[in-house]
Amino acid sequence: MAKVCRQVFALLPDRLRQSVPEMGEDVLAQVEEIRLRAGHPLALTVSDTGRRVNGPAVEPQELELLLHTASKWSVHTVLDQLCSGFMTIEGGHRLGVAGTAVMEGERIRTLSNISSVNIRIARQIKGCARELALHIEGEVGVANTLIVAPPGAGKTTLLRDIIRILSEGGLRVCVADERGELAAMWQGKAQMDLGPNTDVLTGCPKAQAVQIMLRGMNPQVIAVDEITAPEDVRAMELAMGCGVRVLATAHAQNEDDLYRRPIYRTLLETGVFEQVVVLSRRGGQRTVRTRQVRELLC
Amino acid sequence: MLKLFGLLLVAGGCTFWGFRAADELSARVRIVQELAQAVQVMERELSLFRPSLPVLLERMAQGRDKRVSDLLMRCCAEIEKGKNFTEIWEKQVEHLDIDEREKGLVRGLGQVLGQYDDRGQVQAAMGIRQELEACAARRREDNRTKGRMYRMLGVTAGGFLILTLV
Repeated sequence: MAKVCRQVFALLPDRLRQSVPEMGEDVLAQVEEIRLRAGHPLALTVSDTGRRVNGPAVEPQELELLLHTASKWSVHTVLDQLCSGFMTIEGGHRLGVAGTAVMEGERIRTLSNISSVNIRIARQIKGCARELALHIEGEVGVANTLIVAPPGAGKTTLLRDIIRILSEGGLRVCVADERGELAAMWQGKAQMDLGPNTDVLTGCPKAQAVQIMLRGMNPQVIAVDEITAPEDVRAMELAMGCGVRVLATAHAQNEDDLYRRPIYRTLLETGVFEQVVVLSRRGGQRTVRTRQVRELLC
Repeated sequence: MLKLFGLLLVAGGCTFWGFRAADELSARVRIVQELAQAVQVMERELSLFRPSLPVLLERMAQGRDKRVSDLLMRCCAEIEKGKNFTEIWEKQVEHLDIDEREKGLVRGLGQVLGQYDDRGQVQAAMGIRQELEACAARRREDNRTKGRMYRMLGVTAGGFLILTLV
């Protein structure tokens, strides 16, 4: 992990890179985020706690240079992502970006005057879903499962590992990776290990991606990250109707919070999902609970 | 015998100079043409596939004259090392054997490539390619007239020196 962190530091403009203090391998391995805000020194998030580096203030031009370097001088390839506020870079890391949106009608055409960049260092924790995968892949096959957690609790990491385990077990898994978080594709190659039997369609709205993969890839399991729109719910129904098993994630604090949200209530009531896995993180400890959907609906 | 050998050397040297000057002219035409073709590949690739800049440069280099493909591949390697593309491009273009106006056109690509959306890049590239093609046409015309003149000059100078020395 320390090596991965050093690779990310190498993207920083020279002046900022030099301001990063020497850190031991153990600390480096725990760096989760590198935050750069114009006019302020660089800050690191190490194991959920912020740590400001006593260095020079970040210049706006340095943020722009960082975006160019991170995209390998290929802004056109990440522009669509940037308009959604982030971009995936080599290694699967994510650069969150804030600045001034340049609008064209209703849609964001680009971001200018970049004022903040947050680099989230990607980590793949292989084996973190080993026990859960046993619950999901029962004797009757893969159970349609919705993973629920608040942001930062690790639902994407967990889903990624489940995909890898199922794929290594010989199932054909298709991933509708709209925002590139699961596979972190970079120039046609998945930066995260999703197993040998996994096909990834990235950069395409989930609902459309599910239809494309159902048509062309003959999947046994379809996995999507973060269901947010009614079209996603319909795509899940479509997949289930075709006899394909479904894995997905959703943002919610817990099962009650999930049921309070109209879109997820509809999703649960469609009967697509058989079980809900609820993740929570307290004091650095992650807990995993599995609930049957029929219990939640009662 | 020695005198004859010397005369032949002088005549050969002059002719060689004339032919070499003419060859240099056609080599410059070829470079400008090749650059225009590379830019055309860039337009096509960006319009359809939107590849990243290193991949785009590699595709532009495929099947091109060695001087042009070397330039593109060197830029590609430097980007992979995390260097500033605009600076690398400007440095590499300086080594091209073309005139200042043509260098200015090619340098302009470095201000655009990878820094705007694909449409913006294609538009800029189209303008640069058209100007490069116009430069290549002018150079071809120059090559046709001046190339013949240089060759003739070389042969004539050789003959003149032989006559003078004999």
